[in-house]
Amino acid sequence: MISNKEFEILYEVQHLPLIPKPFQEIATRLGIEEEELIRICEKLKFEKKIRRFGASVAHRRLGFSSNPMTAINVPKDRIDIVGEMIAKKPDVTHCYSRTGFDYNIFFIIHGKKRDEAIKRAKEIIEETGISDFKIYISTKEYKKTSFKLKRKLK
Amino acid sequence: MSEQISEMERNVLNITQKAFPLCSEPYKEIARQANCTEQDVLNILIDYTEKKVIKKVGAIIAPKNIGYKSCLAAMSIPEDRIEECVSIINNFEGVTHNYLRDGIPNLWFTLIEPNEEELDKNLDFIEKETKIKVLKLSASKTYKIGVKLDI
Repeated sequence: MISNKEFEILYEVQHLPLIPKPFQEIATRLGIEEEELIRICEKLKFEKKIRRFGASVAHRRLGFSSNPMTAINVPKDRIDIVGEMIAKKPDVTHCYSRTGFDYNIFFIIHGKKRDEAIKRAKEIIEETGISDFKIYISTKEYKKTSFKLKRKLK
Repeated sequence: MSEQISEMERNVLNITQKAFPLCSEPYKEIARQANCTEQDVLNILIDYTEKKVIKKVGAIIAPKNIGYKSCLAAMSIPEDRIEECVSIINNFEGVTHNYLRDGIPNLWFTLIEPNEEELDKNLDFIEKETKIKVLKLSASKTYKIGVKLDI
């Protein structure tokens, strides 16, 4: 699914240095040309192996401290319609259909205030017309990190 | 915190978060769009990294698209055993999120591993160590992922 060279590149570009020519610095480290590095990054982005480039922000530090998870039970033939409808909401940050539980669609809202986030979740649920749901409000964060590639080839 | 952000900082942070240019001099390009200097951009990004508002600037990898497997896992843990169980779970590097939530199940975490075998092996280990059932909720479809909130 991914070549060793691409893996090495992915590993390195996870962190871009805050200097005028960050790709040049990484290319030198990898022993390739800057142009080639940027081209491969574009390809990896096009192939969706890189979701995006840019800053990853600690939202809690910006006041987005509430992240209720809502689980709803959607009839099978409406799963995609409901999933896509929920995904369009700007304050919804994650939306998945899942197996292995009583509810089959999960979505997460990020909000600055707990009550507002819950209210938004309820508004969205109401729009779906689904009456079987549960809102799981977080009371403690035990871990929140980003996915990182370890320097180990598969 | 958000009240103290200047208009220039807000612009730079939003562009860096949402529309990072893939080119030789990305910070110069951000500066052009935000109508400031490259040095302003670098100063802001360094400052907000030091403040731990920015966790990193770089590629955000889609683990699933390079073959990694992930799931959401849920457990119902008695209150007096939560800390003990959390330390077992969080010990795995592949656990990226772990929240205590109201209701049953009450502990929800995400696990990402290079393959399904590794994923199941680790969930089994957690179940055996804690002696508490671990529900594995695999995603059948992703409709949205990516926290890109307006700063």
